[in-house]
Amino acid sequence: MSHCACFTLPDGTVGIVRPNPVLVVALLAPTVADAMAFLDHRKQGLAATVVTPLYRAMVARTEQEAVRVVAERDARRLALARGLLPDDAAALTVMEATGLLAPDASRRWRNCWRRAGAGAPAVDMPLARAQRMSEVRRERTARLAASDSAIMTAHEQNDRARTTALTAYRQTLRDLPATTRPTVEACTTPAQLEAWQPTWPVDPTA
Amino acid sequence: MAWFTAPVTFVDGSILTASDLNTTVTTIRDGTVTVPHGGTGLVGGTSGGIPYFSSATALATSNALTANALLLGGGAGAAPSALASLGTTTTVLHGNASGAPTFAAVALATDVSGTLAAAQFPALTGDITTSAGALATTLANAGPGATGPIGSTTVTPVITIDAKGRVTAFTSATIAAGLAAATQAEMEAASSTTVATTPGRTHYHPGVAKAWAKWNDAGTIAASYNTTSITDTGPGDHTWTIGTDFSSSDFAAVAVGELTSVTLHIRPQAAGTQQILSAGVDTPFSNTDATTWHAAAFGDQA
Repeated sequence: MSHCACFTLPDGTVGIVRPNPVLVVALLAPTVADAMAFLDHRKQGLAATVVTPLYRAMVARTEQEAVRVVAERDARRLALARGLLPDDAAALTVMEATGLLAPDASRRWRNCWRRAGAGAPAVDMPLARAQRMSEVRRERTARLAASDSAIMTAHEQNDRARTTALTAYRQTLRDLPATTRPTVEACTTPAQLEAWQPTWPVDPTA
Repeated sequence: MAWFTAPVTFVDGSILTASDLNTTVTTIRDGTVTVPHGGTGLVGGTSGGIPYFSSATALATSNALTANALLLGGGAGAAPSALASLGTTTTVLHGNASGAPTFAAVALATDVSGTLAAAQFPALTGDITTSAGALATTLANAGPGATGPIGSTTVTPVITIDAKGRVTAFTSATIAAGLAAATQAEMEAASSTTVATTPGRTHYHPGVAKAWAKWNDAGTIAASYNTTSITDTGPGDHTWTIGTDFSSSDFAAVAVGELTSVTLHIRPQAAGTQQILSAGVDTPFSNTDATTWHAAAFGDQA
């Protein structure tokens, strides 16, 4: 199956419906009875009461249409399950599955996929950069926590040199988001951002 | 020979004259002897007919009787007659309590009764057809020493066979258990021991998974049952949508991911959808894609 369907939730999140490929092939059958026979042969356990409305909703017997009718049904059900209105799964568009992943094949920035209208999803770079900075801050906070015991010990032992080194190290960590932001902002593509790494200060106790 | 001359006087004094003699001789020669005098009173009859008593003291002739016809009595004073019909090779004579009998074909529905011994049952050379579409057959009890329900010596099963020879019903206190298909309600109740599970209704049993699926991080389904789609709404955030819904949102779903560093957990669900999240073991508050997802759901189906 080369197609999937894309929709947008009210918070801008992009949903991608991937219909059961056997169901899609079945919906291309010349009659609904043939479709049911095919599904039974492939042991899909899908009842005629489910398949028949989908079959009849198709305006053309094509894969794109089959993907559309299944995706519309399931996107609406997803919206209702999440306490939204059925039409909140809006701007449903059938598109090539391969092209969908092209901008972010690794799904590294999947949370940052956004769409303009009914267009294909793309990585929203400001969101992606914000996600990366959030990750940097989370890592920074962990490194600060890891050095807590070391600086307390230095204070207790009145080791001024060690205290000074640790203090400088920790200050560099605190400043890291601000100092690295310009380089993050310079990343204009998902690939550049995925390759970007901050320059972490060296832990004096390591 | 001695001759006498009339008149003749008898010893009792009566006299026989010549005239008397002439009258008697003429009567004997030209007339009839009546029934009271030991005769028939007849001087002729109908060809092909028979004489009969038309009164206590008289005989008469019947009409001509048809060749090979059966003779019917006419009653007092009436002539016997022939049965009008000779019948055919496929008819038999049917009695009539108040009238003449008639020839007619045998009506199996009204003319035949009793039990036909098995040894007298004719060999069949063609198909049996029935207008009502069914032929009920009662099997005889098996003899002593038989074992198992079919050979029971205490149970008489009844097999109903349709016009094409198909068994359409089989009832017995013990044997019906293996042959009647369980209904959806019986499958869902999961308590009957007298009906059989059929492939088309197995999935109604509460112990059977109503849906299952295996898919990858992009939501592409590899194998599934009663599944229409997987929707990917983010990393480690997939919604599994099934075909035939559960009767409510109270069903049990289980999910596992094919990646040792993630755990899957279930979100509040609807009757036809199940959101499944995958979180990294080291980052429990951050959704992370699993390489491959597996899920199954159990419960009461609508």
